[in-house]
This record gives sequence, structure tokens and C-alpha cells, in this order.
Amino acid sequence: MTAIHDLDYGTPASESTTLVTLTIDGIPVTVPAGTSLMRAAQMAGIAVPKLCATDSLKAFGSCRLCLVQVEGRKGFPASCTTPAEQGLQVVTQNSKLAQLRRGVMELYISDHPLDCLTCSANGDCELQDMAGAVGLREVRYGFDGANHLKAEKDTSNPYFTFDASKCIVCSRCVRACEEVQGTYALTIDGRGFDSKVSPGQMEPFMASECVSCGACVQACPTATLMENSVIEAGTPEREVVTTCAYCGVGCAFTAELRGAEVVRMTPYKDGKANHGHSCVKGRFAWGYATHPDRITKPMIRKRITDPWKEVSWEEAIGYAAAEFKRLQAQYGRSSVGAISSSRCTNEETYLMQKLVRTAFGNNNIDTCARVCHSPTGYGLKQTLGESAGTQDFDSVRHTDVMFVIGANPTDGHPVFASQMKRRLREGAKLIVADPRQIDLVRSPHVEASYHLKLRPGTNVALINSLAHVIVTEGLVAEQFVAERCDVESFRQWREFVARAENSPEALEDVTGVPAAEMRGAARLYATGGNGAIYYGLGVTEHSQGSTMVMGIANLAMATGNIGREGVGVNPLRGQNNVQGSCDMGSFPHELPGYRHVLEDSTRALFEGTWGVTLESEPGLRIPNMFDAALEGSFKGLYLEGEDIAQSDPNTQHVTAALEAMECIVVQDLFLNETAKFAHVFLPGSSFLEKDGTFTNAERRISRVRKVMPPVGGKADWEITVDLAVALGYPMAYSHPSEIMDEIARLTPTFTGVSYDRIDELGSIQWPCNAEHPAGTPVMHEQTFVRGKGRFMLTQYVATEERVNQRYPLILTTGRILSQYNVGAQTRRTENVQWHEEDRLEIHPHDAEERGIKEGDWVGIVSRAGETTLRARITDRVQPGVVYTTFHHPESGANVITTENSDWATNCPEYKVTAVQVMPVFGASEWQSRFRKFTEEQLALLDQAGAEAQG
Amino acid sequence: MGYPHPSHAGEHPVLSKHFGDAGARTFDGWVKRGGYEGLKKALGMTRDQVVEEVKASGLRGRGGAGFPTGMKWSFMPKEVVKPHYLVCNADESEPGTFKDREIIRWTPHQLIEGCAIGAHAIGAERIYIYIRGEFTHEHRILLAAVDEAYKGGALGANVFGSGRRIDVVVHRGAGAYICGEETAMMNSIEGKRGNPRIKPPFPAVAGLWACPTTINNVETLAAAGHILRQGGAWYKGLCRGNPKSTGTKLFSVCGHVQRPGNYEVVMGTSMKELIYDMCGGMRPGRTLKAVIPGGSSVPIMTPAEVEDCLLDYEGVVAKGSMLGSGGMIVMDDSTDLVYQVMRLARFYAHESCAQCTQCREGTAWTTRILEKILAGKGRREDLDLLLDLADNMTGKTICVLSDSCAAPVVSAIRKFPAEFDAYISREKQPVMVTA
Repeated sequence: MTAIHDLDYGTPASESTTLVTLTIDGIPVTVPAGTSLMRAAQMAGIAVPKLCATDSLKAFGSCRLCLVQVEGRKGFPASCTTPAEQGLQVVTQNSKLAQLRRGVMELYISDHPLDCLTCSANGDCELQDMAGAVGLREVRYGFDGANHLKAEKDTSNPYFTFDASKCIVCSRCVRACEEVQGTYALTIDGRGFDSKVSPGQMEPFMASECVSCGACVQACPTATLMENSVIEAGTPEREVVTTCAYCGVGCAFTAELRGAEVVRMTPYKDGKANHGHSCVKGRFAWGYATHPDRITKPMIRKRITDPWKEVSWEEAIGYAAAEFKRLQAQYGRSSVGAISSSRCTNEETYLMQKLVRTAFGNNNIDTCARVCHSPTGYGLKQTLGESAGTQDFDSVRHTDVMFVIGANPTDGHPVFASQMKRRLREGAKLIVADPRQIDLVRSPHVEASYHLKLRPGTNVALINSLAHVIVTEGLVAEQFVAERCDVESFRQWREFVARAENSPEALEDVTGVPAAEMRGAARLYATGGNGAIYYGLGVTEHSQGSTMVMGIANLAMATGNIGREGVGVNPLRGQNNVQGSCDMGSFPHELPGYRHVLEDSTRALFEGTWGVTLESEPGLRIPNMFDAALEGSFKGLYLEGEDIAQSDPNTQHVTAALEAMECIVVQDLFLNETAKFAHVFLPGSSFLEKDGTFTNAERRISRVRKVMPPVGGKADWEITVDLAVALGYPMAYSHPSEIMDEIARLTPTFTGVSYDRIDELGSIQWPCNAEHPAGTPVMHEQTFVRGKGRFMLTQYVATEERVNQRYPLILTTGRILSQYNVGAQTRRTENVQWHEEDRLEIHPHDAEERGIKEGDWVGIVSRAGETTLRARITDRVQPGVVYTTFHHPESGANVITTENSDWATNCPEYKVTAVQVMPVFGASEWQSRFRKFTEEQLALLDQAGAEAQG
Repeated sequence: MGYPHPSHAGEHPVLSKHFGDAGARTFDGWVKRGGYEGLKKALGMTRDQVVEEVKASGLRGRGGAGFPTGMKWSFMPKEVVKPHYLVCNADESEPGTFKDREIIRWTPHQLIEGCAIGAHAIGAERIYIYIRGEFTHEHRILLAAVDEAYKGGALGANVFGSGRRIDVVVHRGAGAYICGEETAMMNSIEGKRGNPRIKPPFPAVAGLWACPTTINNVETLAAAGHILRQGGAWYKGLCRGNPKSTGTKLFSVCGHVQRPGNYEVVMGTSMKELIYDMCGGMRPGRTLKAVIPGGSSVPIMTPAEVEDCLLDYEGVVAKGSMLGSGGMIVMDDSTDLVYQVMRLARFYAHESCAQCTQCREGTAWTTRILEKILAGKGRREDLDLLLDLADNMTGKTICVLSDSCAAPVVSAIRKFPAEFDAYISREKQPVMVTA
């Protein structure tokens, strides 16, 4: 349910291209063949009463409220399940139909609590609406006899309540769980009158397989499944459409409000990335925005051992500006820089890099994409010519073979994963390359044809093996390659991958994947119809991350799997605006639109608009900043929304660098790990508190709309503007739309983008310009952006991070569904109920050898550091590989990871760390220090509040 | 023949000829009795020829709907693009019906032969025989027979050397009446909840595993072997009433007759002849009160309607009921009809899949109102409510389970109003109703 009712057509749209004309209550209407009579009626403006039908689900025909009559046919067909045909004459209302419908409603109400006035769905209930619509005036059955009114409430889920007494057994929840989410956690238990909705096998929701995506709650027409926030606050009275700020799927949401208070977030039906679906984070985990830990006043301090002092915005910004100026005067123009985050809007990241390049006068701007998808930008630019995924999400509907490499969509990109699963249930084939058995490998009605369980760090060997099979078994799409690709580069690549050393047989000892499986997978991808590759950080976060991205692009080009629907190379972006932050020139070597700072013409263009002379030398990358700080040449850092002390590798190296700096300005929602080393804290605003845009993994630019005032008084873009002004560079924007207008003026792929245009289209996939005025769902359709597709040689070079006797296991890391990255937000929500701590997954064999039992504390030691976690013994990981998530700072996952990084982009090799694991009794030395430091810093924070009050 | 009773002269045993003859149960025994000749003949014919032969016989579905079998088979696509399936409905759960059970118990090869002929006719390589879960004994017999049929060459990769592959999978039900509904049965075989499916698509287009599928009743398929062996014309000649109803039909007669059992008669035989001559009529001193002729799902007949009723599809319809499965429930004057329809309603309430509102709630309310009347708390309006509800339960839902619940109730109220009046006017002592 949603507060402001969208038009619900009752059944999904027909995709038929044949049109039929029929009349409904005398009104002629033309619809695609296969459209239900119910939908056709709604298209003609006639709402046929319904309860079990909703247009996100296939027709089920169970409530029987929608019965109609068709001229010349006997009986009373259900309009939801009867397809429209040419010339039909349909009657939706007469006295007989009215009598039947009243009869059905009477049956419903004979077993329904009559507590509408105190019901959480009062005014937002389809049952209530239908009782009115059919004119129910009495219940002749009375209310004695068996009923469900005493059914117990299931309050196990922290976000919604299941009140079985209000259930009308329409199965919308069950069907949503199956059709929309694909988890199959719900069923109808029992038969006849005793039928009831059953999570798992009559378990509480939390004990079942439920992933709390909210699809059932969304589908429920009554108060049976209801958000606790609505139960507490009442029904919302207005709504604002905005974009989720969690992962790179970029779901459109409707923020439903009472006053300025968010009552619920519901997935927006017309959202083109999510089509009305959601996950537990976007749907429910938004309470952090008003969490008491939010810092709402600017604060400053001289040294990090000093207590924080709350000050005015002017003073905080003035202090920060003065410090940066002092540092630049003292240590040189390059001694300061900034790091933006993919959590920020396009407009914010654009302003950040603009501030650095204009007010700081250097190029020391980097973004967190450095540590996730920088190899994607590099690798795809080299091969295809554009640093972006090639498809829209809906393209997967036409995919025949999905090849998922180093991504865990059901956890990391759950809403898109549901769409993938839907296609897989329709019969598409699946290949998974992952060291670990991710859920997608085997889940209800989904099973991978091949799970290539490779050893971490051997991606390039794997992709070369696959390429070898394609080249040597005559599976190359010769015509596509000849027409679309650079012939010489292909010739060299073909010769290279055809070498015996790249055969699956030669490399199976390296990858650990049997040669026969590699051959089978390669054949399936090359010959199984439309092949689409989806990949994640399991590809990029390696010493050969860029090589692997190019290897993927090579494979797609060689098999002709690019340039149309259903195929492509699709990086699944981890954060909401990874694509956007890269697009916006957040890298030290690139201005917006991926144009190198060395290019005179590019600089001239920006200099013309910005009115400054731009530095032509690329600036420092994040790891270079740390090194420079430790050398003493880098002294000041401005961070927005990025917690490098938790998220970057080798934590101890990072914190040492932070300690070596003199002015660290953190702009964030919370006193995060980095802020504990900061001198200025500027209260940032959550996505609910500002206007802007995010660009998701499919290059889709969507609006973020302000739904409540900034808790700290300023939106992030305003803070950056103020800081730039204080630094002496004037910025005059009255609204983020003006920033986007400037971006559009300066960036060829954004020429057609404006807030008005986004409002008009809902969202826009760049490139959007004169050539593509409505955006570009699928790229490289006629030619590649760089002209001819270029094959790159991808020699496998083993990482330096190798196992030995001392460090015999490989640690790899990843995300989990309920938590998000450093967890600053999700840890401050009830999502902790699903994941209250990070655990180390270890294979039973490795656990047995070490005497480790389930739940034991274990020490994990690498060349970089040591930490402790509790063990989870599972064969999801292979022997020799351990795995953990990194959502809790005290876990210290990055204390262990090393500074090895991608040769081209310095993206850290998070996915491969040689470690030893042993049972321990207490916290590691780092953890002890961490706890002490955290306590000290929180005490210093408390003093800020106390001082302000005193 | 009406095993364990000796065959009556009025019977015409074809399907039941070997009931009680344990020797017919084995592959060799069946072959010795002329078995599998029909299948061998069919294998020498094209798909179309087999279908035409069955069309010529006039055979109609014996599960209750009476749809012409040859025509049903002809709906299957001529070209086999996706696999075709034959599903044999052996989930005989209709109250008062026990004919399929006897066919499987005594002549499992009769069924297997018919199934194989059907599979050949529709281009199927696989047959699912969905057998009622409670038929544990028959299940064992059937499994043994399937095993033998494979060994004897009647099933397998090369049936009787014809090059045709025909496999049988025996699937046991788990105690749900609704799974006897053909689309619910397909869901059940697929491992899903036994909810009926929405049509279209019809099974011949997208049935089991979304592939073209035909579903036939045990008795229907069992007749196929005889039709192929003796010819469609022979079968069509077995007719004493309406020419649209041909062949023999097994009637499971139960209730207040002296010799309940299965009786096989030529279509068009008189109902009275069956009840009084073959089954021995009422018990001494008792008179006929009512008959439910086609399993419990059809309207009740009065003695007057029974009087000159002919046992064929048209004959029973002409008397206000339906031939249905041929499960005949005979009730004498000792019967409390209100109680009887309450028991039937309770059965349907228990068996409703719960998908359609009228069925989920309607069968439950029908039962509760009848219980209330029996308990002496009924009002005249309750009868109106029952009829109004029954109207909403008839022809308004996905399958006919709610119709089946409504039919006996409506007919009882209409045809035997005094029975209800007696309770409502408190003339009759209330009955203790326990669930």
C-alpha cells in the first residue's frame, strides 16, 4: 500500500504488439492483445472492484470481486483472468453483478475485525474501499462461529507486524514473495477456511527465509502486513519521490510523510531501476537519519586530543578555510586536498572537485571509487571507449546466459538480483565465478549451470582460459569482430589467448577450476544466446583488477555480446553514486566527463567557465595522499561522506597518515572513524535532507528530493559553497539545479540533462544530448564510443600477496544484505538484528585443523595486522579461503588488508590477503587500542555537548 | 461385474470382466486374457488413426465431465515441439465413487494398456499416473504392474518393438480431494500447492511443466484398449439410450441398497433396473427417499425423478442431475437429508483449496448454517441465505468445488423443503452436531 494511491491496473501490462478493440460498459477501448478485461476497463477509466489483483503480480483470480459479464458468453468471468479480445462487449456493473459482489464482500467481512477506526490501515485499506465500492450494508451471517479474530500477531520482524486476524487470504504477499522478490519464504498453510499465510513452515517471519524486502507489506491490501512506523505514527499525508542512497541499483522511492516526519519509504512503482521493488535497506533502514548519534552542530578543535567545541557555521567554516590557507602558505599549494564519496550527489561531488581545482588550486581530489570501481573506469575506457556499464537493468529480461563474476547480487544489489532471478526462473542460464558459494548459485528455482569456484586472485587466469576456449573452438563471433572491432588488436589477442599456456588445462592448477567446467562455461556463454556479464568488486579489487575488466570486455566483444538488449558488460556499482562521482571529475587526473587534465582544450573550457587557471598535473590519489602525509608534504584534507579510517586498506597505515596531518575537515552525519582524527566537523545532511541527483549502475540519473530540512541546518552542497567562498573562490548557486545546469554546459554526455528534463522523463540514462535526447539505455549499439572496439592483452600475473607456511589461508571480503559498507547508517537501524557482528567464515576442514568451533573467537593475522572475530564454520567457502564482512569498525577487517593494489588505478586488493587464523581468547592489540581511542574520542565529543549546554 | 457379488444378467462386463480374478493382475495373465492386443494394434496405427478410432467409439470422459475423449486427444498439437504429457487421473476421491480403485486393484494392466494407447495418440512419451494417496494397496499393485509392463515390453524405450518410447511415472497424492481437479493435479505433480489453475491456457496448450498435456480418468483410459481391440464401431453399438452416450459405464452403488458394489452396464440402462434388480433394492421395509447419482457433487434426485431415468449423460441431466462419476448414493426413508447435506458441505469445506472467496468462506458458512439448522437454531431466512450463497458459489469460481458443495444443498432445499422445515419449526428434535 502507498499513501497516495497510484492507479492500479490490476494486472501487468501485456507486451503484445497486436491491438484489439472492445467495448466496456459501452466505452470503446483499444488495448494490446492479452490485456486483461480488468486492465482494459481501467484504461477506459472504469475501476472494476478487486482485492487479490494488483498490477505488480500475475492475475490470480481468487477474490472473485471483479466478475463481469461478456455479451454472448455464459457465466461471470473474472475480469482479471479473462483476456481482452476483438469486439468483446463487456458489462462491469449491473444489479446481478452488484449482488454477487456484495455477497463476496459479506463473506470477507463475516470474518474480519470491525475495528476500522483503530486500525492502522484506516483510510489506506483496499478491503475498506471495496466494502464501500460494492455497497455492503449488512452481514447476514452474523459474527458467531469459527473465525480468525483471535489470531496472534507476529511482531518478530523489527519493521513490520503480521496481524493474521486481518488477513483475507488473497495471497498477494505469497505471490509478491515469489514473483517480485523470488525468495519463496511465504506460502498458504492449511486448507479451506483454516488457510493462513505461513512464513517458512509456520514460523515467525524472522525465523523464516524472509529477507525483509517489504514486497509482501507493499502488496498487502489490508492492515495484515503493516509497517511498524505507520502503526506508530499513523497514515502519511503527503509524499515525495526520491532515490535511495544505498547501493548502485538506485531504487526510486516515495518518502511518505506527516509534516516533516518520514512515516514510511515505499518503492516507487514507476521507478525504472526497481519497478516498485525494494530491499531491507532502502525500504526500512532509514531511521539513521534521525538517530540521536547525528551531529547537528559544527565543531572544531586544535588537536585531536582536545575536546570538541561546538561553534557557529561561520566560525567552523572560517576556521577550516584559515587552516587550509595557512597550510598551503606553509607547505605549498599541493599540501591540501579532498576526498569525496560516492554517497554524495552528483552536484556535491562536482562542487568538491571544483573547490579543489579552483580554491585549492591543485588536482588533489579523489573519490572512494578509487577503492572500488576505478579499474572499471580504466578498463572499459581502454576497450569500449566509455567508463560505464553498457546496459540498462531491464536488458536482463532479454538475457539467455548470465555470467556473474565476483559479485553477490542478492546481498549487494538485492533489487536487481530479484530481476535476475525472475529471468533465471524463466529459463535463462547462469554461470557464477566466485570463490564462495553465493546465494545465487542455488536458490529457490534458480541453479547455476556452472559455479566456477576459483581461487581468489586468479581472475585473469580464468578469463584467459575462457577466451582460449572461445578462440580455439571456433566460437568467436567473427562477423561482429570484423565489423565492429579493431582488427589488429583482435589478431594479437587471438594469438595470445590461443597459446597453450592459456588453456583451461594449463591453468586449472592456478585457478582451481576443473578444465572441463571452464570449457563448458565458455561454450555456454559463447553459444547460449544473449550473454550478459555482471560483475562486482570481486573483479576490480585485485592487483590485476584493470586487466580483468579488460579481459571481460574482450570476451564480450569476441562473442558479439555487446551493443544490443540482453547482452553487455555490466559493472554492479556498490554505492548509490559510484558512476556519478566518477562522471563528475572526482579523480585527480580527470575533469568531469572523463577528460584528462593534461588536455589543454579541456582545461581551457573549464577555465573559461570557472575563471581560474587550472593545474595541468594530475593530483594525488588517495594512497598517495597517505604516503605524502607520512612524508610530511600533505597536511590538510577535506572529506565529505567518506570514512577512510574504516574503509581503506591497512587501517594502521591510514590512521598514521591521519595523525600526521594538521587539518582534517570531516563533513558527515556521524562522528565516524575518520572524524575521530578530525579538527573540524561539519554536520552533513542525509539524502532525505537535500536536493540533487544520483547516477546508478546503469548510468541512470535520478532526482534526490528534499523531504525534510537538514538536521544540521545546511545541505552538503551549501557547506561546500560556503567553504569555497571562505577560501576566496566565489560560488553562487541558489539551488542544485543550477549546478546541474553548469555540469550540462561543460559535459558533452550531459548536455541534455536538467532537473526539468529529469522531472519530465522520470530519470535519464546518459549520454543525453542532441543525439540521444531521452538518454541511452544501451550503449555501443552501432559503433563503440571509441570507434572500433579494442582488444587488450591480458597476461596473468599472480599477485604478490601469496600464501606461505606462515600465512596459509586467503582472506577475501564482501558485503551482506542487511548492512551497508562501513555500516555508519545501517548499524544505527534495526538491521543489526540480522547482522550484529562481522564473522569469519571458515571451511570445516580448516576449522577442524585449527580446533575452531562455531562461534569461537579467532585471531586473524596478516602481514599488515591482526584482529579477532568470531568464527562461522561453513562450506560456502572453499578450503584454504576465509571470508568476512567489514560493516563493524571494531572488526578491523581492514587492519588485515594490505596496500597491494591494481597496477593501473591503485584500487586496493581487498579481495586477497594471506592470513593465518588461530583460536584466541581476547581482542587483538589493535582492537584494544581501538576501543581505548574510541572511548577517549567519545568523551571528547561529550564535552562539546556539555560545554555548549554549560 | 459387481465384485464381490456375482455378475448380474443385466450387466455388460467389459472393464470389470476380470474383477475378482487375481490371475488377470499379472502381465502374463493379462496377455492371456487378450490384453495388450489393443496397444499393439494402436502402435501399428498413426496418431490420427488412433484418435479417429476413439472418436468413432463415442467414448466420453468417465471422470464426470463427459467430454468426448477422441476430441480431447485431437486438441494436442500435431507437431511435438515441447514434450507432451498424458496424466492419468487416479485420484478417485469423490464421495461414493470406487470404480477406478477396482480397475487398478484387479486389472492394473488394463489401465497401463489404455494409458500407453493414450500416450501414443497424443504424442506423449511420459505418462503420470496420479494415484490417490489412500490407495496404498492399489499403489503397490500398480507399481508392480508398471514394473512388469517394462519387463514385458509394454513400456520403455521401444514399446513392443515399435520404436515408440512410453514411460510411466506413478505419483501418489497426499490426501487432498482438490488434487483430483485436473489443473490442481498438474500443480501437485509439479510440487506446488494443489490450487486449480486459471484457464486459459488450457492443458493441451500449456499443462504440466507448461507443456501440452491431456488428463484422462482411469475408466476412460481403461476403455481405450477394448476400443482399439474390438473397434470403435463395436463400442458405439453398446447403447440403450441417447446415441451420444455409448459404451459401458461402471456405477459404484452405495448406501441403502441390499447389494452395494460396482456394476457395469451399457449406457442408457434404466436407473431403477440398476437399483432394484441388480442391487436388490431397499432393505426390507424401507422405501427410496433420494439418490445422488454422480458422486456427491451433483443435485439430489427424488424417487419420482429416479422412476424413468436412463443412465446416460443426457438421461440424468433430463432428470435434473448429472451422471458425474457414476458414484451412486442411494438413501432410503431413514435418512435425515439435512444431516446428509451438512456432512457433504463439511467435506467440501475441508477440501476447499481456499483460493476463491466464495469457496473458502462459502463452504464454511454453508456448513455452519446447516449445523445451526440441525441444532434447532435455524430461521427461515437461513434457507434464503443458503440459496443466495449457493448462487454465488455456482459458476463464479476458478474450479467447480464450490459448485459441488452448492448443488446438493440447493437441490435438497428445493426438493425436500419439509426436511428443513421440520428443524426450523422445531418439530424435529435438534441433532448434536460434532465436527
